[in-house]
Amino acid sequence: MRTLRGRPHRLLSHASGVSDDHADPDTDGRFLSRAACRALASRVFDLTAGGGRTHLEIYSRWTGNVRWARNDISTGGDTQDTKLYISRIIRNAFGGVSTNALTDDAIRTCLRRAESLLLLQSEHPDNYPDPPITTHPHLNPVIWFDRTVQADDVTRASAADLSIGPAVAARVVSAGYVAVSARGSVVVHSEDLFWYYPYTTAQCSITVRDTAGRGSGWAGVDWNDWSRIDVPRLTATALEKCLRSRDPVAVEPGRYTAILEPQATSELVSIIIERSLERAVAENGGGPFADPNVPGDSRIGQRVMDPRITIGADPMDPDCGFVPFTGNGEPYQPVNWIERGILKELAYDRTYGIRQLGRDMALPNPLAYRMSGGSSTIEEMIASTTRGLLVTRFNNVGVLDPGTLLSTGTTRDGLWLIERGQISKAVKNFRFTESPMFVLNAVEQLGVPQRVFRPEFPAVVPPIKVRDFSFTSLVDAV
Amino acid sequence: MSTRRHFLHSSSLAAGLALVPPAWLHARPYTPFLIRATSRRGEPDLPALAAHAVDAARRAGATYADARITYTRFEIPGSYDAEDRAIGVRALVNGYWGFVSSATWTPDEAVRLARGAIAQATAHSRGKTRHVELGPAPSVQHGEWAMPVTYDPFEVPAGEKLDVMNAFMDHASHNEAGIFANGTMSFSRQLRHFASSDDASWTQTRYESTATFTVSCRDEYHARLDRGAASADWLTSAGRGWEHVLDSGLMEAVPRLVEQAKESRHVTTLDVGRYDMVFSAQAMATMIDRTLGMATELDRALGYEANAGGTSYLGDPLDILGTALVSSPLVTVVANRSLRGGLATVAWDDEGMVPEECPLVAKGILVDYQTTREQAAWLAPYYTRVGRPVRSHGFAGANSALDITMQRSPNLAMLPGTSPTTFEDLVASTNNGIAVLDFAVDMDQQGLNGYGGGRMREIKHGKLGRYLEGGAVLFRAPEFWKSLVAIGGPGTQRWFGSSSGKGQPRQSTSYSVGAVPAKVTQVTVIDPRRKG
Repeated sequence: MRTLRGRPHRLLSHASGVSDDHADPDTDGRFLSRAACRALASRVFDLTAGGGRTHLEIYSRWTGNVRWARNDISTGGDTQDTKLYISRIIRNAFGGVSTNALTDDAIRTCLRRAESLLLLQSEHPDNYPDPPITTHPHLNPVIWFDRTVQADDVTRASAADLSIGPAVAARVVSAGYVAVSARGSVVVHSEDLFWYYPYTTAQCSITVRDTAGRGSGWAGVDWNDWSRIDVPRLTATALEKCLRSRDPVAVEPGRYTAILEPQATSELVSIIIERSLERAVAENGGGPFADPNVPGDSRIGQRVMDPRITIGADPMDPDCGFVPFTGNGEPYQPVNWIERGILKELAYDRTYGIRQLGRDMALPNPLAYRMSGGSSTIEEMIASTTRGLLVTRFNNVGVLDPGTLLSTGTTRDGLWLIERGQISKAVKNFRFTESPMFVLNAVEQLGVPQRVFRPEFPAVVPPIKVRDFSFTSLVDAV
Repeated sequence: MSTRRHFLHSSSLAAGLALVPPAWLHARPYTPFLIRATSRRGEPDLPALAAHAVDAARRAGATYADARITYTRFEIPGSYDAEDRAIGVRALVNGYWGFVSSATWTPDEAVRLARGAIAQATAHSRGKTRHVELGPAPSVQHGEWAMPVTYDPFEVPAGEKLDVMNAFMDHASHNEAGIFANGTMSFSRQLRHFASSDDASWTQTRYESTATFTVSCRDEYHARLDRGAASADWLTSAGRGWEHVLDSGLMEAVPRLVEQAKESRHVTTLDVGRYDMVFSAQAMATMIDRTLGMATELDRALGYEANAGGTSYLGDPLDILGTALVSSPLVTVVANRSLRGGLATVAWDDEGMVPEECPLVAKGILVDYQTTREQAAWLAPYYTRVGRPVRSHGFAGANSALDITMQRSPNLAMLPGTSPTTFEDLVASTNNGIAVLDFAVDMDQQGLNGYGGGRMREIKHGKLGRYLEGGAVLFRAPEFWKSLVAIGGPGTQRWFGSSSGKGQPRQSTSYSVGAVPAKVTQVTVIDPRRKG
């Protein structure tokens, strides 16, 4: 076996002390098994010359899908692919290449490309500090489900029929998408780390439209376990929303009490998760979590939103689990970013950990999250509202101001006016201009959190009722 | 820099991206690259592999089948270098599609994909039969084509490419203290083989070169306010080689960019209201792309994308084609895949069809939609009524053979007017208004209501004035296009790279959009940061 930096690499043994030997599922030849990934990694290292370190990421996947539209199946797909990312690192210079051809020839070519990139790189001190000598094993969430892999062409076509049937009966039009996948994610460091994690994903989304395009409803969800996806129930929700949203009337833009269904809530809260949780950025004065009064400080320890709200992530969450490590080989640990309205943590990388905190560790952001809720039902929220709007979901949300996270987007697939405690009529869509930070400081009621539609990065989010939500202009698209 | 040529001297891509007749496409010699690529050591004969897959699908019962093989290189010089292989087989059984793809180029795998596509199509048919009319079959047999480039970017060492970009940046920052320049670039090259059960087959090589170049003269105060920067907006992306950067005209343009960056430090908050606005060619290209372009995708209009990107405000095609006034009569929008340097330019599409140039909007009237072979038949009543053949325009494609073929955007062109009007003339004809220099828009799910922002300047008494901030344009597409009162003439058309996502799973594709400047009256400008 080739040695790197004079040390034997230990990929083929379990001598690294890292536990990854739980029972693996059968990959059925559709993506690379643990053994196949080990063999591939060994092959790459055997072909590597020239010292330094080598870091691999392997993403091997099978996906199957079906699409339907106009109440009939339109297309589908079945794809297998394995992407191999190779980073060669010598004295902080870095060369990154990728390929999905796993032959020796292709790997040799890739390594040559990586090394020619190294020659063009400066050895910047901020680049890629030495990899961690990993002492913490990663967690082992249950995110593999045989039933997902078993959702074959016929199963998926039947799922489409479960949505098309009721739509035909109701003389409306269903369009939708079901996709399942089985994957193996791998991170390997030439020194001492080989982590492999198999998992499955499943998603379904359905749009039901009136034949004349006068109304539109939507429902969707994703899970790791296909059997948790209830296609008839999603269809019933989308269908009911379609029928109830027909012939919307225009109401004046302005500030309204808004009841946001979980999907709508998640589309706002995800902005905070995706755009503002970096500690170094906040300490540099960027984003909503920079302390405006103390330059160089973040708002960690300060109240930033309603005290009923906690937002965090845990790979072991049975309803919101995810691959338990990053592509850099850092394990995800349970974290609360916001705890009872107080900012507790912000994410940082190893460079920050070593330099600012004196600890060789990172606090990575998995982008998956769970937001706490309350016990109110949407019906109770409606009943307690004198005048407001019920929002199904938002579309095309974009940030206008990274400092305040002021964002804009439109409502879509079901918007209703609430008057005197009841839904009074369907209304035309709105463009909104609002910050999720403002929204989470204007919460009146919270409901029971539930899994929403957020493929790749799972989220569990409650419905919420908020004051003074800014709907700024009319959008008459259906 | 000794190889520099001068056709981009005017800093406009228009010169390098002139429309050429389709005949040009077929006169290309087989390039050395293709021969090398297909005969690399240990690689299979890819055209034969594609044919093998189609044959297997036909034997397994497909009424139609096609196979694509793609080999893609992608490079960010000095940072990242990637290659990607794919093979995909699509089959039609009982009028239903099946599609299976992978990254393995072996005869056994080709057979597995073909049989898988048949099994999937059979599952999709659920015992039923649907009639699919694919229209006239393509006539191409063993076609070979390569996008004409001066320099294959992958034959130029990354270090050399970095040296050139660094020279541009140095030229900007060495001129004057306090000036910073930042340039980025990426390149891709894709070799693609196609075979179908109609006995069509081809091999094509396409290139995509992308660059950005921004000059800024900002202290911390201005940087925070996002002021004091100017970009070489003509760069974007094009179906060209390394010459896209080499001949970009950046050296000559640096003084002008520095001047613009300085001017743009001083901005005035604009007053909300309704204005006559003069849109640059770039701004109009954005408008074409995100409104009329998106809305004339036939699958969107008919609801096939309802659960993904959305539908179209130009729904009910058969009711409105040939009669609906969707714009001012000044506007004609043409789709093509033959533009030299166009990102969507090919000799044949992913169904083997020779793309045809077709107007989508002619003098303001909606006259066509973007189609594939299957989709053309859906418009048969209209084509028959107006005496046109029912055939695909050749707009089928997918960026990688891992993705299923669908209708994708061709190059889109808003044609110049006949009178010799320039951007400056349009400004001169405006007493009190706003000029939009560059523009980005967000559209709703039907391409109907838009919201846009970008760099703007005031127009006072026919002259460009101060830079403006704090304004966003709010519009409905039909009213916007009907309020257009003047457009640029010959010589004002410029081309820009664009891309869009579509489908489930989402796939992205690139195409070029050309447009001329235009004047539009009574456009609503709001303060985007003011809440309701």
